[in-house]
Amino acid sequence: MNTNRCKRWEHDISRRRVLGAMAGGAAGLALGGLGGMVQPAVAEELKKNDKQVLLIWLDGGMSQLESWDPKPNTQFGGPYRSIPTSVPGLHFSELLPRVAKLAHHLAIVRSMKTEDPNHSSGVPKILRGHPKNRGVTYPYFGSAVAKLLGPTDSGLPPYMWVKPGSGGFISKHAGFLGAKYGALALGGGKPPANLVRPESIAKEHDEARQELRERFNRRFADRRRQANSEAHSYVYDVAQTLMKHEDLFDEATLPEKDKDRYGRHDLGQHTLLARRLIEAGVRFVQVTSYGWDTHGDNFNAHASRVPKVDEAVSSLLEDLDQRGLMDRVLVIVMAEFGRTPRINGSVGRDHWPNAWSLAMGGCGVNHGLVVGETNADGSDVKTEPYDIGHMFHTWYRALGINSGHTEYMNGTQPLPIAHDDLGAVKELLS
Amino acid sequence: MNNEPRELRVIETDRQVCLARFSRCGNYLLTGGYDATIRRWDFSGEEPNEIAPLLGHRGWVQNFATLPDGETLVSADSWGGLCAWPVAGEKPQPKWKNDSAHDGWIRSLAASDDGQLIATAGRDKMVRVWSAADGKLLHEFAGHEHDIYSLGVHPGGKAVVSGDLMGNLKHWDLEADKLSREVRLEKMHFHDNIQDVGGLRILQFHDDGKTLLCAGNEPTKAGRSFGIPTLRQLDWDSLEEKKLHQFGPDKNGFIFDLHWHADGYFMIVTSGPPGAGMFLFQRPEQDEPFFTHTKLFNTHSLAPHPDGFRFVVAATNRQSQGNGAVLDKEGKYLGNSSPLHVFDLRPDAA
Repeated sequence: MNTNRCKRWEHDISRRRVLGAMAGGAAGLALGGLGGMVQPAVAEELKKNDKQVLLIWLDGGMSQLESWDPKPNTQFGGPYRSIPTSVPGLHFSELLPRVAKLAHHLAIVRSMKTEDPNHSSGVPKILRGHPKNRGVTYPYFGSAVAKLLGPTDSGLPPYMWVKPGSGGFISKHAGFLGAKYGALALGGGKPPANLVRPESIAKEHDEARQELRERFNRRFADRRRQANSEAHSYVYDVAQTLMKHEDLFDEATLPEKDKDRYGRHDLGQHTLLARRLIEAGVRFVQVTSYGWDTHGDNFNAHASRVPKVDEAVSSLLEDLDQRGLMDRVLVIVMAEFGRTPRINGSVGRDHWPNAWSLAMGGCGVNHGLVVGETNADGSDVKTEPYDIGHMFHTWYRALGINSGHTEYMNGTQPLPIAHDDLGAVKELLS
Repeated sequence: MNNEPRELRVIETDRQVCLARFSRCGNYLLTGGYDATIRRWDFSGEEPNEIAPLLGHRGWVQNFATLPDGETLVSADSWGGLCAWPVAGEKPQPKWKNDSAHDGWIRSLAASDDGQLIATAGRDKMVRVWSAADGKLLHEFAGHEHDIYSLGVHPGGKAVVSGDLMGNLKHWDLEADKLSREVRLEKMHFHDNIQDVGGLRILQFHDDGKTLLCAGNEPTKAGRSFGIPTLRQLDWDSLEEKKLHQFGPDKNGFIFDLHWHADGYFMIVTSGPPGAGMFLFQRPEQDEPFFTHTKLFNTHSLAPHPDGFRFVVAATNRQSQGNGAVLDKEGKYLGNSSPLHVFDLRPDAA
């Protein structure tokens, strides 16, 4: 039995406390709208929280064997060597040389064991923390943190998503919390179109227009469901806030050296933008890199791809450390699963939820350690397996959110913010 | 060739094979694979008989060449090791060995026709030429900016060509000890998201060195790395394309191996999605292959026997792809394997 996990009784106490706090439910309604609220006392406490999250999502599934959990010179180990890291005894794949030198900033979990081997169902399960099915759609992690911690004092949108392709406001991430907790997606790392006030509109005219819009919105909202009107109005507010921060998207203000360090590719430049967004005060930033589904030519694909993760993640860690942000920002690097140890006929690796790895660093988590272990050929977890629910508890606690005490209120329905049978991995928490 | 090849037998393996070759004498079938091992089968009798493997490499053994002396095999591994072995013998020990011939994966190895020179190249972006007799470094060339995938030594022994991930082809002059020419085969490369795909996977001289064969694929998608298996014939003097051969739809894989048969055709194996691999025979002047075999799964190597009739195709077991764990009855996690299919071109082969 792994003693690093929270005990069930700890959660039971938390739950009783929360149910007691629900007596003040009416006040809660006033605080957060109809859907997905947090108890008021808890919400007030969380408002003071300055923690932030930067999630790097490698969509499709990076191979754990070509990154965090190499098995060199074994049947399934692939062609690459492992290299020592800055943490004695810890080795990464040779494809991660820069991150290896910064491993003392990271905690690696090598014993992830999740259920779903499919992209379409696995991605939302992982990003929602795969809680128990209670007949509601849980929010993605970004929406959850946006709800639980709210925007920072910057007033910037609490959940921004930097991704290749198209952008827009992605309300479906919010689940039952309601549309306004969705992600503002910056497609191609670009700000929403027409962000800048056209020169033909004077500043005072623009302000007058906004005031008029707000009056119309209020009148509109009086006759409609609050959540919908809130989301509608929120999008305009977001645009207004972003207009005040248009410098964030001005590449000319970025040093060329930084662009080089992060790598002149989507993942590098998007991670650099994410760092700027975090510095500016965005609560939760997700960077997505697509195309990791390497069923064919896995080893050449990872030779091309993983060094880009190496550039982006190492530069990010360096910068957060240099700026003193490690105590405030939780960094997570993960995907929906890993890749099979066995090598298929197309020299690829397939989907593998059975024994995969993820990395984290920054606020609230211990660093310079590896948690969990796979067996010699990487085909199974040798130690206590961890589900994504364990990680959600861990990350919430790292952010100062007591995942046992805190619950959403979906109308009158209390809902745990993470899987209520699981707990945080204490070894990971600082 | 008037008859279709007849499959004589299948040699089952318990590991996957990257490369299969016969010794020059034809008495040994040699394979390199994902298990750091060179396996040997005695082919001199009626039935192939596996004998002791050559051990000592690390990572993958994806490249080796047999030398014209009939006795020596030079092999490379994915950790940068280069080693010369006697082909025969019960427990052969290396003639010479260099554990750090390259920094990391040696992606290609080619021997000169006279067996004097061994050229190697790898992920360290270096091309090196060694004395086959003692492993002494003779030439070293830097200039590629990306992983080098392939090498060829001109029959005259005075030139080496190298090809990289981006489709760059470089001609290195061994007499002048410098880069002589370079050209880019753009269609052999594709960039998508954060991945470069494709590259020059095979370089071979043909037609007494008048033609350079460039093989791999014309990539169309990253991730799964789809593409059209492609062979380009370049005129060696001008480096201009003389003939283009493409095999299969744009969702196949790569040409994995390529040989010239004395009867006037190329023997080629390709990979693809499950069930899409094939081996085929293609005359250099014709547009379509005159023989295509699609019943094997993801073929990775083809070894012609020196007798000109027999050849071995290293394929993959059925159902090699699949998500999650594949377990045997005892609950053991199963890897894949490479059945070695033995064919014969003679109609009366048995």
